[in-house]
Amino acid sequence: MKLEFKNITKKYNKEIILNNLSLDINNVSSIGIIGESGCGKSTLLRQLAGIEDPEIGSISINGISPITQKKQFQETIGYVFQKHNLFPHLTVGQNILLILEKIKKMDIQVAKDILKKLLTQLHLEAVVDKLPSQVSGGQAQRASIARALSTNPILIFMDEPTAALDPILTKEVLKSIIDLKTSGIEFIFVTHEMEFLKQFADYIIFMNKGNIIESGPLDILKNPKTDILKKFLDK
Amino acid sequence: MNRKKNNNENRYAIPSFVVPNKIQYVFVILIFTILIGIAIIYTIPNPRYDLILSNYPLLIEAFFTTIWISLLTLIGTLILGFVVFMMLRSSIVIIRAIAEVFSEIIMGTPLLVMIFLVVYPVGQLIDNKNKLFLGIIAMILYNSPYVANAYESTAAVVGYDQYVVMNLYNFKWYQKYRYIILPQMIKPFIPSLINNLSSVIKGSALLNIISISEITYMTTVISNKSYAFIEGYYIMWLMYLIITIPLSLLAKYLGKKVSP
Repeated sequence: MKLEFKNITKKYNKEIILNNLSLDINNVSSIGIIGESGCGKSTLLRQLAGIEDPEIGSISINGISPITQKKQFQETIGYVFQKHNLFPHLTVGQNILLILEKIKKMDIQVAKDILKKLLTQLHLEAVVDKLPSQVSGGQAQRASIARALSTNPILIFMDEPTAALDPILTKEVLKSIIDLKTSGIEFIFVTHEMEFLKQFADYIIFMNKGNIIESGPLDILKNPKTDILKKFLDK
Repeated sequence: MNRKKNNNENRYAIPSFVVPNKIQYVFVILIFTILIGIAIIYTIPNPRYDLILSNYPLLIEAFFTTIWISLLTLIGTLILGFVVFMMLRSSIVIIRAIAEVFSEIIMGTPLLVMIFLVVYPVGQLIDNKNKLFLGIIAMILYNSPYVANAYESTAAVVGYDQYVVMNLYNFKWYQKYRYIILPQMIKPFIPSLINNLSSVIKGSALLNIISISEITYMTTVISNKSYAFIEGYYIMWLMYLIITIPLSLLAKYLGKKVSP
């Protein structure tokens, strides 16, 4: 993927969350964003996915802008939230079928085939007819990964997909995500799981207080240039 | 152990191991029924309820008139209230402003004035002399801002996160309502729907000023004819209670059933 952003600035109530960020990278397939809680990494992810727009700045991912070409851009992406964000009144299966059949206007049979494939891939066959409140956190999060995959995206955003889960469920969900690495889909994600990061990312962005402190290939974790990153890694 | 827990949860209540909860309720209902009974029997010496009740075919007709007028009003209110609700949520300022100003004015207007306004000036303007029709329109206008508010508070069950997902997948506005927002609103809306029907029913009493033969009008006419005014009011009261109490019990029951 080719990711370029220039001078992104984002404020919430006059507080600067993203402070004039710029980056230009090419030929990476999986970007991990790390940093302390509240450093702005989830906010950056939301700007990159077009869920929110920055006050100032431009973004281009594979030549498309999530700000000015939002609709076209979002057709090609999937997004996995911290919480599963499934619609609570629909079953796991309906959550995916609704998007495919009613919103993307697919033929019902095609939609059902896609659903079946995803349920097998993410081991969700047993819970297809259950509401999100009736399944485990791990199953719900895997269902939301299935939903993100259902529209056949070329790029998936993940915002701490295991933050709301206990260690056992975290393992289960991360395994499902790592299985996706061979699928050819590219990723931009935020995580606190360093082992997962090392396995899954090929480019790292380290943030602190709204600034990008370091960025580069996985090696920067071995040889951090700044004290802030060193400190962060020691924790 | 059990005793202690009970006391902590409900310090001021009569502990249910002394008198079961149901009995306490029955006791209170009995007291109020007796109070109503005393009012009905002793307000005046030698009450002549027979003078009113002998007109029972008219009373029954009025009873059902009140019910169908109220139901029509409710249906109209649900529709107009929904329009106002949608306008309140519009991103276009002028539309939101119209809905807000409309709501404020109506909520500050007595129903009596509303009925007068619609039946006479507006009726003349649109050249319609059907008082029943205009009266129902007045009731619909009067109740719609309250229902719009009820829609707004129930729509809050759909959290911000769900809108993020809907926008991400490019839901059109009607798809948001059709598939996500309305299906989640129905259950929590039921209790306020029934409460609203109760207030519509009581409000319909004011239609007697334009001679619609609902409960209030009919009992007034009958009691004027028979000079049994007090008796007429009491019969009227009981007829409203017969409609509204079961409704509010139903609202409470459904409210309990849908709450998580």
